Amino acid sequence: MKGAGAQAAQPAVKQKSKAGAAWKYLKRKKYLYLLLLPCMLYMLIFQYIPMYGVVMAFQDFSFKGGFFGSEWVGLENFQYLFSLPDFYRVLTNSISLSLLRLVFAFPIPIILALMINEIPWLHYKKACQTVIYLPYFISWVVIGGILVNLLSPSWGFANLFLKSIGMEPVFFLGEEEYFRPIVVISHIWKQAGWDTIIYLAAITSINPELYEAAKIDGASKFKRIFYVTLPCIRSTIVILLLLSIGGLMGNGFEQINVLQNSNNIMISEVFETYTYRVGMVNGRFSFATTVGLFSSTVGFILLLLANWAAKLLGEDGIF
Amino acid sequence: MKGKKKLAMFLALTMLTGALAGCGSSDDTGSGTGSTGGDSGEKEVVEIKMVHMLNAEMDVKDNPVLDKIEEELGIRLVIEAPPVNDYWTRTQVIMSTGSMPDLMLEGTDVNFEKWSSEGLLADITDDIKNYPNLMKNISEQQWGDTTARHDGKIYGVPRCNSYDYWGFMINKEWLENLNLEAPTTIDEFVAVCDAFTNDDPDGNGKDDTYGVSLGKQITDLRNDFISTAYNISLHVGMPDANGDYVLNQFKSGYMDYLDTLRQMYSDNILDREFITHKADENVEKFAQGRVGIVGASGKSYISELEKYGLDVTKYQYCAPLTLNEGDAPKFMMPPSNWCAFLINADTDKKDDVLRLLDWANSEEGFILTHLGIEGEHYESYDLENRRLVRTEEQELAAKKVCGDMFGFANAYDGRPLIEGGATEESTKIWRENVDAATEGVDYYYAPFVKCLFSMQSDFPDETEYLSNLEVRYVTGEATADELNSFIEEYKGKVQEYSDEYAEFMAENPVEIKKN
Amino acid sequence: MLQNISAALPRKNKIKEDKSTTIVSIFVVTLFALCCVAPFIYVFFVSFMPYSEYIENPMKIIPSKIDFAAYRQMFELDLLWSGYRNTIIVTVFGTLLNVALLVISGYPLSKTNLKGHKVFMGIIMFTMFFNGGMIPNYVLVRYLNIDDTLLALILPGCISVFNLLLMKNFITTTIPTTLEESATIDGANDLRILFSIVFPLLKPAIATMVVFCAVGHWNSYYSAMLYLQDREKWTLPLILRELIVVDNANTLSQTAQLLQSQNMAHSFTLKMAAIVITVLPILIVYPFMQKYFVKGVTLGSVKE
Repeated sequence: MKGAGAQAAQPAVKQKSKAGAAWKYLKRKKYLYLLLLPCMLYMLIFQYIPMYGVVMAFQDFSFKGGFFGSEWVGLENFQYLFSLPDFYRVLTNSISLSLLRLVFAFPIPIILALMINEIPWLHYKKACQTVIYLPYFISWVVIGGILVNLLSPSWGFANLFLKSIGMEPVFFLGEEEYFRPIVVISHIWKQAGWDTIIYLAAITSINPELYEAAKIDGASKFKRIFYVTLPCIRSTIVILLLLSIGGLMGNGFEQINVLQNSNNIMISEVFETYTYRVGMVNGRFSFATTVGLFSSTVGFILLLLANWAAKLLGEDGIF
Repeated sequence: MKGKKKLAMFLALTMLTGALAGCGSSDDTGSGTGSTGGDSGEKEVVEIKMVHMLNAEMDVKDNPVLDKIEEELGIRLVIEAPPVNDYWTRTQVIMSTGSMPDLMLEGTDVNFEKWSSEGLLADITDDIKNYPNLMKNISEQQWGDTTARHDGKIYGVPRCNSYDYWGFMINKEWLENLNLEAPTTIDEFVAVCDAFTNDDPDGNGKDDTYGVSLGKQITDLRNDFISTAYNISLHVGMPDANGDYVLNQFKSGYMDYLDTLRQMYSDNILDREFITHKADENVEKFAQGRVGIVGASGKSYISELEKYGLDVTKYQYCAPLTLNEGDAPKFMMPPSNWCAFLINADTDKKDDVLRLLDWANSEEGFILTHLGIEGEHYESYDLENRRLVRTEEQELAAKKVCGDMFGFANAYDGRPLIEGGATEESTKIWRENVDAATEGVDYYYAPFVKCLFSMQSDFPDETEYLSNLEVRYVTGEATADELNSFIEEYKGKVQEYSDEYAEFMAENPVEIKKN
Repeated sequence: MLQNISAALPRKNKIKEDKSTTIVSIFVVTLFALCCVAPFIYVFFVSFMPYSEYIENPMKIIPSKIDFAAYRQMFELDLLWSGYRNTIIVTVFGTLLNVALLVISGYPLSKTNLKGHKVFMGIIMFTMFFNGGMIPNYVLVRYLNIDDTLLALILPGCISVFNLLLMKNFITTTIPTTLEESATIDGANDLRILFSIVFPLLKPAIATMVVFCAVGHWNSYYSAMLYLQDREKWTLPLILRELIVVDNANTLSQTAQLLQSQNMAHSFTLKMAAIVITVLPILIVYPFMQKYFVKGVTLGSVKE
């Protein structure tokens, strides 16, 4: 009855009440919006204001003219980019390398976190967790140095071992086919331990009552992992997975730069190393921005698609 | 509760130290400028702002050398020293935001042409004639480095350097163990590399040595000792066998040179890991006794050996290789500078800046900026023989106030600050060795060729691709067809530049001096 | 009887299965941990090795004598101390600000039914991919007059989108909506709910974020490189990179020559020592944070 009464009200009053409702809502939720204010201010000042920098991609940037005085060239930089034979190579390299990472490196921290969680001795558990995050602090430059020593075809441990079991030594860092495995494995080694922190924290916040219930139901440890732990950290996994998909265009500069050499350049050149060379070393700011803008756009679209797909599958997604 | 209190205490303490630190540093700057004002009672002190690449030890505020410069010239240098690793990033940001200081150290290869043509740099073509030390200490060829291609005007003062002459170092012990002579021709070189790889030259019973470790690229300073036999050098200006000036890739010996290396690579008598080197690991491997030969400059090979603590008598420096027995080895002698000092086009202190640079190129300025104050930072310095006496403490103290990175000229009278090794003895060995090695060598004195710098920056992708393709050809990853067809394509693209190069060289030919 | 047996059988199987799960876990984690710690031991020992010994055999692990040359060379540098001080200041205040912002922004963002939620998320996610680049950021920092101050290292990156997403997700998954609902009925406003109900439950999330932000600040190189001019304000990573320079020699041949001529000796042992002095403080502080996200008691038994 009440609803029917409201519907019968005059249009003018209805509009007024709509604005009033919005105001009322805002007033009720004022603290939530206020809490969000610093974040939005930050985004505006430090992220959106500097975004005028992307105009560089449509300019022939000159140091004298800067952003507002440089010559406009429209899409010329993009045309040049797409006309480069290098471009398709760099694109394929970037995507295939990060796909490999996604497939092989992404699940490792999850598995590690689950396993660490199963260790019954507290001190050992903590010690292991501390130890596996250590490589995170060794810079790629140093890891590169260690790898060169370790994998050297004539002096490295790896090849001494191969020789001792009667195999031919392999020039791991020099031959193209080993480049990708080395990137993925060294990435796992450096990053996986660090990434377990997120999953461990997610596991910690699981309500213990759920385990109790599962135990009473007679579920084994293995089953509890599958039916309690994994579903509880699923949203964390989904978010990280979506972000990884959004990051498919990126491979990080340092690692690739360290492992890159003239021999493997055909498969090791990715967007980061390419932009670095054209931007910093060759001084072509505009073109570097073009390359960057292209890969961001693709990354963003990939994220939107992945997010949409996640929602279709009934996940929460990011937004 | 207890934990929280501790945390609060800790925070308060850090805040306090933070605040104190803030005060401390602002005080420093305050007194710095204060004293500048105070001293200038009678003489006006000009403040020159400068961006310079300096070692981390150097103190740019409380610095007796800077005080001395102020006293002598009435110029106070206010230096900003960005991190060495990203120096070029910072200078590009500085330039693109229009905040160039009065004076800035910068390379002349990437942005110089752009900045000078955009009018950001001061044209000093007519000014430098009034500065005798600049004219005397920097040769005409060296000025070529800061002469813009687009209008032929001079837009900066080169930081002049002494000549390098690139030959190679060889492990004498290995030669003796295998009863071999140091190679002089390419064929002998290949034979020695083979022996060094396969005949266990260090006698440890393990197959763990190689003949030679190359530079990272195929045309590399450290490979000049091989490539000059084919009239190919990293530095432009080396004429082809028939006297023509063409790009390295179009020279008659180009494929022979690459094929020699390719063969050595496939025979596994050179250190295959040269492609993974990032800095001078090739010299490190030579020092480790893993390779027997590495390219080296006659000027500095002795200090390289000493850096690794090696016995200098066990190694020998040799002249570049030749193709045939009896040919004269060739040293490529391009004018050498280490970057240049660029002056802001809008500064009203151009004359003061030039006065400073002129002084730094004088005997007094050269010594002061490199070594500091006599008695305090060194015992004595003999300019004639380029010998320096200083204690370890003095060396440490000197690092904080001056040094090679600070110096505005890297050579005086065409010679470096210190010649030879660290001791009298090693210097004697060095001199004898270099004199013997350089006998009968041809020195090719070349000018700076600006148009080829422009070519590289106008065709960066092609240039890069080509240099990688060369490596891949040598390692057997790329075929001769791939290489040749790319070079054909490249030839068409850079035609304009190679013509200009030939023209330029016709006017400024290489001067060949026989030793 | 029969019933008893059938009940006991799966139970036995279960215990067996439980045991094997535990053993496999211990084995795999230990193996991975060994792979991680071995290079670190190498780094540690080489940092105490005389350089000549490293040159002789780079794969040598135990030095014949302990040599502090690399550490001496570092600690002789006055900048190292100011670098430590600056890094500690930036890390402490930067992390406080980061985490505070993450909590207060993450909470409203976790309310998916809040009007405008999608717009806010869109605004935030967009910045994860698009930014103005180095030069506009530099101009902004100069315009705000915070260049050459430590604030330039704290403010421009004070909200990481990645961390914000994690925080938001933590809040969504850990805080039961029923709890908030009952609090709302009790008349508590959103601020009170956040600080007295949500906040205490977020301990593991906050500890994680503290670790992430603090380590981020501790290692941060890029903004220090770009914004700091005065060397006394330089941070530790910047100074350490200066000591072990030479690596990026591939940029310009002129620089490469210049740097190589400077006799940057002992660079490898120095690099190793640099890692040790960067990691040690973290190793000391880390266990205090770790207790929040590595659970003390095996899951399944009663909490704490």
